[in-house]
Order: sequence, then structure tokens, then C-alpha cells
Amino acid sequence: MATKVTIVMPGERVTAVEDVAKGKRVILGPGLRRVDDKVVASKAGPLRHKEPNTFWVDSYQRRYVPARGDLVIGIIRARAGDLYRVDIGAADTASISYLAFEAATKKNRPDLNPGDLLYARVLNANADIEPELVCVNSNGKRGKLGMLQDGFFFKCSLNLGRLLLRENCPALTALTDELPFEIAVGVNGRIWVKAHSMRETVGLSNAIMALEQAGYTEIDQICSNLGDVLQA
Amino acid sequence: MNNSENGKHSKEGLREMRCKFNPLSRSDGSVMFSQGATVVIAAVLGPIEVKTQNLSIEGSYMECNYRPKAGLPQVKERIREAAIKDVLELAVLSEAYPRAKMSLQLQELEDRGSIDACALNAACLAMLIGGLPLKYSFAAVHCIINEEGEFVVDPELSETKHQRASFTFAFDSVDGNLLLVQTKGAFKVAQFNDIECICRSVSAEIFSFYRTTIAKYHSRSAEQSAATKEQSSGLPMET
Amino acid sequence: MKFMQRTKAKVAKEADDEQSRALYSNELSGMVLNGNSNYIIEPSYSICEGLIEGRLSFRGMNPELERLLELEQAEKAGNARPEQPKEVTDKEMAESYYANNAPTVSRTMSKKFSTKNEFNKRKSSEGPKWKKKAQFKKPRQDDDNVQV
Repeated sequence: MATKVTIVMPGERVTAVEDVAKGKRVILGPGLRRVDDKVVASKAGPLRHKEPNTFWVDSYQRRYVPARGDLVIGIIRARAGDLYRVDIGAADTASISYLAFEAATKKNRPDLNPGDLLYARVLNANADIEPELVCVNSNGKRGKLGMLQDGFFFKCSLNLGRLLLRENCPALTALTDELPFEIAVGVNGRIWVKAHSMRETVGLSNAIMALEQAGYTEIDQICSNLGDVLQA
Repeated sequence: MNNSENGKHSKEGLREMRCKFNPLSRSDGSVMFSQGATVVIAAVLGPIEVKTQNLSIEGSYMECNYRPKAGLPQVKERIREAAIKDVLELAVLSEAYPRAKMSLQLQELEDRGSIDACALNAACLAMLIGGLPLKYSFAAVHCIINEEGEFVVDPELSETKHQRASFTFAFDSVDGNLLLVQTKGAFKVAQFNDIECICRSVSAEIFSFYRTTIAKYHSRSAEQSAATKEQSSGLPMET
Repeated sequence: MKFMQRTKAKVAKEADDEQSRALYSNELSGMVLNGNSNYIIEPSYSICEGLIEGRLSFRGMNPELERLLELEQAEKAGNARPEQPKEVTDKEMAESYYANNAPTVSRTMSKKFSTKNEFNKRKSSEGPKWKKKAQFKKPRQDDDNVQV
């Protein structure tokens, strides 16, 4: 997997992608755009490729830009008629209809108040309109979405969020060995954790925040230090 | 490099460039950038919410603030601010985020010559690290004609005391087109053309600096840090 | 004049049609262009990188959530291995089915034409047979881990 990493700069033509596109369909991720029949980068960073045909530019961007299908943590800001306004860290506040919850009807509204945390999916994300969230899947079931109660909430870089959500991330496995816990990671750089006691929860969040500073190789070490953090 | 008959360069190339990414924790991307002793901090925010009066459905609104080392911004700073904003508006892919604002804050820390060029380069690096969409990156070069009629690229403050003319050029990274020209003083057209050529070739150095610093910053990430076994040194990285 | 108004309306309508056709053809060519294009734009990092869903629970912190995760895991495993070994072979199935005297298919027609005598005879002969019918088979020990 670890091959030579190509750094692309804005405006640069990415011929590697164009070559692949001659043969098959290609998915252009964030940081790449199409200008006529050329593929041009719009962000600076390493060009990433996932088999068979996905390309994107990795970046340390800190501002979340909503994209359809993303799972995010939002904070209820206000109630506006049939909608709740939710802060998801993007340019615009997102909206969620009170009917977008499991078993919600016009009579039976979900009980949400400003300041509550929501784990929701971005249903609609278009630059021209405000993003829309839902807390149910296509079958009308809640699944893993919904309100996050108790626990502890903190912000991190978008990159750390994505790091934790990679398949087989060593960090979460290592933390599991230390204590039982529950976690919600939003790709908008927000994390919510909950453990049995306040002390454990704080230790957990400290450990996760320490990963921000760490390289990939240091993860195991930091996670094993979590035990010390808890005793301190 | 082309030497003209009426001008020799006493010094070629730029002063040493250094940068540190994300010295500020609350902005979306920030950089402390220095060319020689001239130091600027640039920070970007964006895309963020925009006031209704500035809202545009066609593209994002660009905001640029320049703060001098001390005191409030005066006319001189306002001009600089406007020039930087003009260049940014050319470079930013503003249609990507309509109804939003991109904001750039520049804080001058030390002005030891070529502050205009330094501020522009810092702005570009901040945009790059903040992940804002750009059509191209840009680089600015400052050059003067001193009293002996020599061309001095990226001069120190002391060297500019007795200048005959001063030039600041900004180029884009794709076609090398001119984005900004600022001139002061008396000069011949031939000199102007020569200096533009020199600055253009020097700008390549800045572009390669951008690339190497971005590459170094990203080398902390997964695959590379394992491959190069480089000890990562915390989030803000010195180059 | 009436005819002038009519002409004016006609011309306006034509211009309008022309405009909407131009608009539509723009749209169409764009759509056709996209259809032919080999590029799909996907602005989400989570889809590009194949990120997992970030709501997790470990070691019984939230049993409800963990059950969901387990189900998902199982579904994933099921997808990866669609050919599950059969618990009962086709032959066994057929045998047990007919041994049960599958009520809907066994001699439905011939029953209608049988005399009372024959009917009684069959009933008496079936008596002991019923006792012999295949019974619930205890699952084998190694079947425990098969998902339903």
C-alpha cells in the first residue's frame, strides 16, 4: 500500500486519473474537479487512490463541508416551525425536520431542546441550499442515529475523525482493551464518548485528543498509556 | 538568467523562506511565514457564514484584513489589503461555495523589506493549508532597481533605502500569468520587461517551496511516517 | 388592431418556445455529456475512503447498539459467504416430505375415486405408519454456529 505519494497542487493537471478514466469510470473525490475533459486539483495535498477507481486529495482542512451521506454530530441550536436548526460546524446551519425521527408524527414530536446532541446523517448537501439531516434510515428505523445522551462531547480535527473511522483502526481496538465505552465519531470533527464513570470518560477523551498530536505509529503507545491517565 | 546592458543583478534568488503551519488553533488554516527577517502570520477561515449584505449566490464573498505590527491599519495597509484581495479573488474557486464567506487575516509581525510579496505568499500558503479550493496557487516576488542601476530581487529593508524603482509581481502556478503588478519610481520599459522575466523565474523557487512544505506536513500521515520512520514532532511543524 | 395583437402574441409565443427549447437542449446536451463521461463526482470523504459508521459501543456499554453492530457484522459475513452449507440435503428433504405423507400432494386425485372400502382399508393401514413418520431431528453439534 505504501507507495510513492504524489503531492498535487491547486491547478495541477492530474494525468494519472485521466489515464485510468480512459478505460473505466472514475470517482473523483474531494479536491479534484473536472475542467472539460481534464482533471484538475483544487486543493494541495497527497493524491490518494483506492481500488478500483476512486481518487481524492487528502488535506488537513479543518472546516467541515457537508457531503451527502456523511454521518455527523450536530448540536441543536433552535426550533423553527417544523424544523430544528442544527449546528454541524459547516458554513450554514443544517436543518432537520421533526418528522425525521423514528416513530415521529405530527402529534408525537421528538423531545429535543437547544444544546442537545444529535448523531445524524446528511440527507441533502448542496452548496446552494442549507444541508438537511435525518435521524432515520430508509426503512424509517432509528438504527444508530439519534440523540446522544450523557457522555462527553469535544471537537477535534477532521483528520482525526477520519483516522478513527478507518476500518481496523488500531486506536479503537487498543482503547477497547482498557475499558468498556461507547463512542460516536462524526466526520465533521466532533466526537462524543461515554464510559461508566466520569473519570473514565475524561481519560478516554484525553487519550483520543492525544492522538491528534501523534503519528500513526504512536497510536499503540498512547492507547496503552490510557491506563495511567485513568489512575492519575 | 538574462543580463541586460543597463542592469546587472547584484543578488540573485530569494532570502531564506521558513514557515510553520497552524500556529493558531482556532482558525481553519494558518501559517507563520518568513522571508529573511520579514515575518507575517496569515490565517484563513472558510467557508463560513456570511452577512446578508455581502451574500452572493454566484460565489463566495472574499474578505481580507491586514493588520500592521502596531496601531490601526492606515491607508498604506488598506492598499496592501486591496491588492491581496484582488489576487485572491482571481485565484479562489469561489463558485465552489456560494452563499459563504472566505476570510483571510494577515498580521504583520516584522517588516524588513518586501512585505507585500511576503504577505501574498503567506496568504497563498494559508489558503493551501486551510484546504480552500483554488484555481491555482500564486507567488509574489519583489524586486528593486538600486542607485547603481542593479536589479535586486527580494531586497532587505536597508537595500531599499536608495532605490530608483520598486516592483512587485505576482504569478499564477499554472500558466505563469501575471496576477498583480505594483511599481513605484522611474524605470525604462526594457527594465520592466527584464525584471518581470527575472521575477517569473524566481517564482518557481517559491512554488517548489510550497510543494515541499506541504509534502513535509503531510508526511506525518499514515503510510509515509511508517515508510520513512520519521519521528513526528507534534502537530505544528517547523520547516 | 386585433390581427396585430394576434401576430404579436404569436411572435412572442414563438420566441418563448425557442428560448425554452434552447434551455432544454442545453440541459439535454449536459445530461448526455454526463452520461458519456467517465467521471463521477463524489464530494464525501467518508464514501471515498470507505469509512465505517462512527457509532460504536464496546464491551457491553450499550447492549442495544452492540446487538445492532453484531447483526451488521453478521450480514457482512453472510454477504461474503453466500453459499451456506445445507443443513438438510435435498434427498433427505424429499424423503421426509413424502414420509410425512405430504397432505397436499399424496394421492389427492386417487382419493376421490376410491370406494368406501378402499378408503377404510387405507386408513387402517396408515395407522401404524403415522407413528413411523420422521420426527424432529436434533441438530448436530457442529451446527451451532450457523446463522439463521
